[in-house]
Amino acid sequence: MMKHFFLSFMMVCLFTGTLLSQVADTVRIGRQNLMQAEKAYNDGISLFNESKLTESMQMFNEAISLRPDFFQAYYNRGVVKAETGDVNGALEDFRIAIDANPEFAMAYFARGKVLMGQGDKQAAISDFTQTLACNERLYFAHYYRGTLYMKKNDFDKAIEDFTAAINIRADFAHAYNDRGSARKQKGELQAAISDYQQAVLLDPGMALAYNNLGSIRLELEQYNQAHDLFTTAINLSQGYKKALNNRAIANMKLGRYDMALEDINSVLDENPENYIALTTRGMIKYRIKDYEGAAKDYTLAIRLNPDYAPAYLNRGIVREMLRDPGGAQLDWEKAANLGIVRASEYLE
Amino acid sequence: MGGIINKHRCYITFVKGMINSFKVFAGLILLLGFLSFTETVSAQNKEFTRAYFPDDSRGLREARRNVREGDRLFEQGGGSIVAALDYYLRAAEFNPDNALLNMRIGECYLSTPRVDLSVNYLERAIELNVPTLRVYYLLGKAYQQNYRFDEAIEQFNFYRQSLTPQEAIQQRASIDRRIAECNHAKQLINEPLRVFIDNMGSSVNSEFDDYSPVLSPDGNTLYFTSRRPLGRNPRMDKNDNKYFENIFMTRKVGEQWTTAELLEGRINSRTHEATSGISPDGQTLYVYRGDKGGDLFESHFNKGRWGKLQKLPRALRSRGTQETSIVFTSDGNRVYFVSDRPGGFGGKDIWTSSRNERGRWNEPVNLGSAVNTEYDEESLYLAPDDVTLYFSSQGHNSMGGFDIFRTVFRNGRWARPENLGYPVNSPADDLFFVMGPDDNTAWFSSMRKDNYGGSDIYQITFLGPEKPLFIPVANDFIAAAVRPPNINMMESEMEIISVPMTILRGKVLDDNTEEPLEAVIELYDNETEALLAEFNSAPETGEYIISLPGGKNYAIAVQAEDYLFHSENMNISESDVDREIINDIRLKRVEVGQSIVLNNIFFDTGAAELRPESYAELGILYKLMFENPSLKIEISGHTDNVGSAGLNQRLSERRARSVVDFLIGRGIDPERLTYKGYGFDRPIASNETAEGRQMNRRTEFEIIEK
Repeated sequence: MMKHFFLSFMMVCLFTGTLLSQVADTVRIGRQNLMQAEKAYNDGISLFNESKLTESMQMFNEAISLRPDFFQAYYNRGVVKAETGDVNGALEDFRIAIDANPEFAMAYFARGKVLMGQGDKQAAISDFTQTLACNERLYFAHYYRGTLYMKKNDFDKAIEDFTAAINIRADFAHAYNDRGSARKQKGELQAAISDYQQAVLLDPGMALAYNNLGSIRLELEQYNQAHDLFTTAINLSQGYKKALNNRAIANMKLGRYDMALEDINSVLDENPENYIALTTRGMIKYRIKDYEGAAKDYTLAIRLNPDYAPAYLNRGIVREMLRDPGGAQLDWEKAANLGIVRASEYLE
Repeated sequence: MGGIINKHRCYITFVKGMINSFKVFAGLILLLGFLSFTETVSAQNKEFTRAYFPDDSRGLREARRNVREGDRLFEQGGGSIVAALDYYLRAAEFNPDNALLNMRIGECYLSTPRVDLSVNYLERAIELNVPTLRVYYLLGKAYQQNYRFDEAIEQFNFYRQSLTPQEAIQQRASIDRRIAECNHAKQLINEPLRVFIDNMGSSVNSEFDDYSPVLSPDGNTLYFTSRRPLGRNPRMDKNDNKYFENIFMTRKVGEQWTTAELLEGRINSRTHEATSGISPDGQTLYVYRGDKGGDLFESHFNKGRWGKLQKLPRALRSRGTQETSIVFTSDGNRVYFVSDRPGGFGGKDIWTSSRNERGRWNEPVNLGSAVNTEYDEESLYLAPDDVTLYFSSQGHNSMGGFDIFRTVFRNGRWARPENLGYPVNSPADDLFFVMGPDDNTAWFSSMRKDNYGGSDIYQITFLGPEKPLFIPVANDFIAAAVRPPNINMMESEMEIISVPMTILRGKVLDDNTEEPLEAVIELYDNETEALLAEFNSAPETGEYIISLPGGKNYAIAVQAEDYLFHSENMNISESDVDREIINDIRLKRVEVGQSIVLNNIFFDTGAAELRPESYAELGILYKLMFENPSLKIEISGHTDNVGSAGLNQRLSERRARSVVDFLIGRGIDPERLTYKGYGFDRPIASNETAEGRQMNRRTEFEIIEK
């Protein structure tokens, strides 16, 4: 069989090669187009795995031109397009694949991911749900749907999905981390700690889980533990800004203001426009009663992100200490308008 | 206490005294350690004698004079302390190394707002081996006033241990109290109040004592007491060497307070008049008048001025006792006041009385041990709710001197007073708290570092409970956002199933000139009639190439403009697989007389009904007729020579007729169509071979008219 194919293929190539320059393209009839399409398709997959996205895309294009009903090629091309940022192209390819095969679970999943990237949470949830209707074992569809529920603050549903993902794949550290996050958001701190600990057990290199765990220790006022966890996260992921930011907070809580400033300044040295770090530094300066310095940091944070409510809230507090009740009032009003509930209480 | 010059002793005498003072071994060890230390590092005490200043007798005389004058004023106490300090400091410029002088200066500073300066002088006095243990007590006080509470406790403990048993009995309570104050202070400082405390400034405060603010109900007028001098010959109270108290007022204009003015009207006199309280309607001012032992009076505001002081009802006064502060409930039926009358718990206490049915005041009763202590209570302020009472006390958990407390009358009893907290309260005396109408502002009196002299009035701005900052903890709640999970998104590769192929290639040429033609080539699956491909031959060479799966029957139809179409049946057998078939196609121009064989018209053997696979070719013929409306053709049928001539002729004619009927059925004018059966009269190949016979079995058309 293989010999047969090889001969046929060689013939086509031979004639195509020798005559192409003199005559029209070889017209291929019947199964041979499929063969060509499938070969291009397979090549496209290999090239994609080698991260040769442009070449991979060309192969899928060829596969589709040889076989216009080749829905798997559309799907794979959609994956490549999504990877290259051609979101609309990807969505169209996934649509074609789904139209051709309404049971195509991965196409729903891939489209869901693209829609998620576009911020269309509801459509993405719908696609992930459809994915699972086609194949209930696709744990990552549970996982991604869970992340969307997280973003919608529907933590119960998020936990349900993360748990389902874990039940299918028990070593899925991501799901443990995210379930921990959902539980933290629900105030179930001990359960969250347990999940984060399981995440780092399964994936000891997961710096973000150490960081998240540290955040809970911070919330529980276990500042030394928090500090150590942030340090682990920083060691695992050099220059992990969020962990440095958090360690600065832990140091501040421990009264080690110099170390706190050192941490947060290292974040800001690299990116002076990190408005979250500026807000943290403002907080540290407030603690050491450098109200002028704190106000400057908050003002800069606000300039960089005029919708960052915490900077307004905190600057209001600093302005109060700077004997500027009018300025404080304006800041708290702004923070309240941007959704910080307790800013309204400060106004009262 | 005697003067410094008369008190000096030699170093040995001091050591003996010290040794006698210590009754415990531990104390002795401590002392010996102290002595060995001072012996090695301490400077030498210098007396105001010629022995120390042999070359400056004039300066020595002046310094001794300053010391004597300082001693005299110091003995007077009260307001004279500040004046004494002046003389002492002048003497110290001449001789900074006199132990007792340093102690005196330190002690004087303890009575001024600059308590911070007292520490150095007292420490210096110890360094110079001041011959009195009291310096340790004073240093303890200085540390306490300067918020150095642990050091203060250390000094008080040291002082206590150094006392004789008799002294200890006398002073233990006072020392213990001091130590307790320090411990209270340490606790209170750990949880400071969120307040701003601002000196009311030089428009209100003076270099003399200013205190006891009383606020009008609308919050716009502040009455207060000042001991600033009035007129050219101000009178001084010999009891404390300060000017007599008078009542002043200041008004709020916008956010500022006007310069204080002496209260107009008939209240102030040549003796003490001090603010004590104001009625809830602001029309009655309660005043402490200092003569005759000190009593409370009231003045009514009438016709724009405060009237003459009038005695309070007899029940609220007591002969030979002192009442200093008074407040009324908003309905005026209950009063709280401060008095040192008998029956209290010690010092001044807070008392209360209510009006009876006849409008007379009942016998006052002591507020009880929950509020009153063995120390003094002072300066009342009753909140508008009538149940929250602010007062100052030297007892409870004061952090030093008078602190301001709050107690609430609930369930028939006064709650345990609560210290208002640091920094409203301080180790100094904090008194005369009064709340503003907005509940965010209050005033009180204290003696602090930033004052203008003596006691000053301060404004408190309450900031409320701590406003928690937003702590920008940065999380990565969703792991995928940082580290997407490794998911293989690509569909898996396919197994490619190969099919045997045949290559069909050739050229499309003009039948006459053999010039290459660009023609449209259509390829049909004869079984399914499906159009498999439509493509053009190469314009330059007329070449075409088709790759076909073998084992099938195909039809090729070739058309070019101004040429008759060509059709061909291609039966690619399995044996043709993997090989090349060359097939040139020659097209004839559309001209009268030209004829072509319709190779893809099929009939069953012996039958004239068109088989369905003929329709593709018939469609091309129809198209030719449709696009060339002037064209007239003859369809001719031909057979091989198998069978009789008649039969073949009839069969060929019926077959030609079938083609014509097909075209007519599609709308082609019958006038343009003729048909004829030629039987086997016009063979185009030999009938001797199967191939030849197949070629002879055919349908042709010929252009009759163009």
